[in-house]
Amino acid sequence: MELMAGECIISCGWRLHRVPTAVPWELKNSKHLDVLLYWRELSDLALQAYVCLAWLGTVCKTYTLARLPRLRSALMPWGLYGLRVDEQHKVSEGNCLALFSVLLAACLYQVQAYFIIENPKLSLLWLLQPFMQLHMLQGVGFVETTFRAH
Amino acid sequence: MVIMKPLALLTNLPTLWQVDVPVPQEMQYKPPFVLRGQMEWQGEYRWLTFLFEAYPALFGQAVGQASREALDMRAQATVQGTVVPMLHAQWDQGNPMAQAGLQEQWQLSDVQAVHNGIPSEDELYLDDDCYNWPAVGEVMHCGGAWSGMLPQEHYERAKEHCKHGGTNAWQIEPEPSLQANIPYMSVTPKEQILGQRAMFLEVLREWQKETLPIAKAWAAQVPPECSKLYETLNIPLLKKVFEAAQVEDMTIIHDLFYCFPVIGEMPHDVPFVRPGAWGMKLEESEVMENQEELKQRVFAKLREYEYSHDVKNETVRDAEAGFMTMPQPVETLNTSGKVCTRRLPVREVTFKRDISKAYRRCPNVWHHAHLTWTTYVFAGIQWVSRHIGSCFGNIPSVWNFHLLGQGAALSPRRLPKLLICRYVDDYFGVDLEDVPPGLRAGDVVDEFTTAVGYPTDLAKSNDERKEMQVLGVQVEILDEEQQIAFSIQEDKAVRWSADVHKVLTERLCPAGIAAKLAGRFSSVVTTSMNQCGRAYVRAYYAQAAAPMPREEASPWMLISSWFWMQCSSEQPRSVVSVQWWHRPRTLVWTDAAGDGGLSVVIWRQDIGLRFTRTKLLAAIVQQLMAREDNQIGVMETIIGLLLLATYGEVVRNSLCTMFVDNVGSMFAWIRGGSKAPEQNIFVGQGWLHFSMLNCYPEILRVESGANLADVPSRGDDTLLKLLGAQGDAPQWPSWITDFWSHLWLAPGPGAALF
Repeated sequence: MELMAGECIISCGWRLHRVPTAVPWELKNSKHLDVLLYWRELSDLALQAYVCLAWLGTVCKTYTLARLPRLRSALMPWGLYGLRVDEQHKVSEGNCLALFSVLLAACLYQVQAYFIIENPKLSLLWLLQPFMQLHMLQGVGFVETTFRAH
Repeated sequence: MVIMKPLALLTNLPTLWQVDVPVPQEMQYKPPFVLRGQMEWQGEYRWLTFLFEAYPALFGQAVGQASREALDMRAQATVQGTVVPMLHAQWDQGNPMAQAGLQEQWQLSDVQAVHNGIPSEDELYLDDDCYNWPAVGEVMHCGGAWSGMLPQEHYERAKEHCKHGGTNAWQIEPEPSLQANIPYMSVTPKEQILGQRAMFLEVLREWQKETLPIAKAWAAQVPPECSKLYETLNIPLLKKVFEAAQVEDMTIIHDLFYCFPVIGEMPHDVPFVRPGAWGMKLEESEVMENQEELKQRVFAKLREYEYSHDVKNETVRDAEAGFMTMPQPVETLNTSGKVCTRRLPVREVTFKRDISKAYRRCPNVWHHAHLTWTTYVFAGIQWVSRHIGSCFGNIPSVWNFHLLGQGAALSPRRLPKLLICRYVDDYFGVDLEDVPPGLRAGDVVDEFTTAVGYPTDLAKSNDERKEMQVLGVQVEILDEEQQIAFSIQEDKAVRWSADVHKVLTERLCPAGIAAKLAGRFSSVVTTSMNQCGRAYVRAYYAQAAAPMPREEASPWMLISSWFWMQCSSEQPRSVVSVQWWHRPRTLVWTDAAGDGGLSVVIWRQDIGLRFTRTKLLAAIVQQLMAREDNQIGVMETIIGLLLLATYGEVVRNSLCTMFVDNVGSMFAWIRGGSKAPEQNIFVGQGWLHFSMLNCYPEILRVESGANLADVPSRGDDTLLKLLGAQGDAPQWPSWITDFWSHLWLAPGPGAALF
């Protein structure tokens, strides 16, 4: 299952290798494919071991260091104080998606299924406490790569 | 995909490490596209990262492959009832933001300040050092004065705080082992010093016997064409000596065993590199990319020169010594994939020969052999030959020898405790008197360098202890006076006086000769003339850069040539006292007013404040009429001569700080010359006079309002009298009444000018 799928490239890759793949979840394809709307159902599916592998392309627009001006910082990865309302909205949405990602990953880990959370290398997402805790679990680690290598 | 976009994947998929593949060779050298900021895209501004958010298709495929394998493993484990495999700890690359997070902590305050209006930490805790305003009591070195400063304030402040730049010179500290050897040589009994040397040589000979078979065995392993060079080197011995001397950078031994790369990265964390210097890198792909095209260009330009026989002889000699392969006609070689450059037409009979050999003995690494081919034409045939040792004109050659030379200088300093210094491949130092041959410092160095395979050039060895020639300069130690004298090497002076004489008699100077003379004279003024004579080098540079019609010598060049002729016959010496910075200080303020008023104020501890005031001589004004201006710039410069003529004895043997309030004049004095010929004469002669007085001038700027000489130049000396200054009668140098022709009449370089 590919969540926050964007152009659904990973689903294509899976299908090429005959991995049984669900419909990729991407909000711009359908308003029903909103992970925040169906977070409970998705986590239930994971806990019941219906999902053996999930790709979580957590939206990085407020986390990446390529973004200037910043809405988060290393000491305040959940968001800076005193942001404008529209900026605050973006930060809150990013926080919810991050929490959903880590929740789903924890559910999958519990049933010995696999998860992959993708974000840029220089993303403040990796400094959120739940992600650091997830990283501390046995068998979980960071793998790095670059677009240029493929 | 040219986009770099590094990704991090937090996962427990055991096979996902497979997606971390290296960047393909053809992609490595393409400039990365930086995904920063926004651009207009389909009518609206989008973040660049958004435009490139889609993963490359091949990446999707790689993830698919890894997932397939992992899921198969998981299914198998479930069937067998074993533990489901997860990502092994060895593939965990760690949190990529762990470092970045730390780095960014200090930036946080800025971000907060920008977005929230909260004062940053820097704003809350201001550090005094962040301001460069001079605090009261701080040493004032740069001259100048702040707005509203009064002349008497500047005078008081300069007296107390102004530090002459020359006083910093003694702070240059020699390398620690050299520093330790200075007291050792002066205190230790001679027998003990010589005993130490004898012991070192004895151990060296013993080690040489031990290591020779190893060195021979090593040389036997190299390709036969290179064996000649390798047979002369004894690297195991060098390693032993370096280890005993505790040379810090032992990587040189590794480099010697595996030979020196012709390309690659130049590290910058070695002792002889200026801190903060940038590293340099040259990749093979960069060299090979256009090599075919470049080679064709080199081949097309090749032709036979009158010195081609020299190039041929030198190449054959190099080949016989093992530094190159024997030249062969180009037709007999497949040049494809080989980098070929033109053999440099260097007549290696003088100073360069020595350097060349030093480089030559650093062998090139074999897998870079295809990068070191060289070509020339002789007797109508194009010849090619390959460098086996490092070659002249290649940056790594200098680098490689520096690495070796540094260790080779440290070893004799630390083991036989010699006072030895190094300039690239020239070793020179100080030794005791009456040392028997074989134990002289030079002999010890000779034996050491010969044993390890880097022999010194015996023809250039010089053991005269009170006089030696270094870099074309005659250095003389005057014991009783505690002085060191520098002069131009006699044979050098004879060589260039012939050229100058030709210019004077023929009144012609080709650009090539002018460039050569300019280079020589520039070196002479620096090394042996206390920076004097810079004004007389300009004409040669001008002729070299923009020659006169029909290669004629300009009038100013004839004047300059006359000056240099006299210099070559008199060979002026630059004498430096061992404690030359312990000279008395003098402070001078000069100013010229628009109406022709000139004033000089001078202060020295023992004589107090003195001043002189005058009007510009009518004779000088008449000579300057051609300028058609109000002469203020040239007047500001002329005051220097007024100072020297009036207060020559006051500034003699002193460190003189001269405050000038005219920037043009200040820089003319600092540069030692000027574009305007009349200014050039004043500055040139002024420097010569400063030198004759053994005075070290430093020229600094002062604002007009704070210049002590400003008001007196307008005829009002009330302030000076209040400060207790004593007036003196002005004096002018005699030649100034006819400064355009004085150089033709004077018998020596400035000797009879004042």
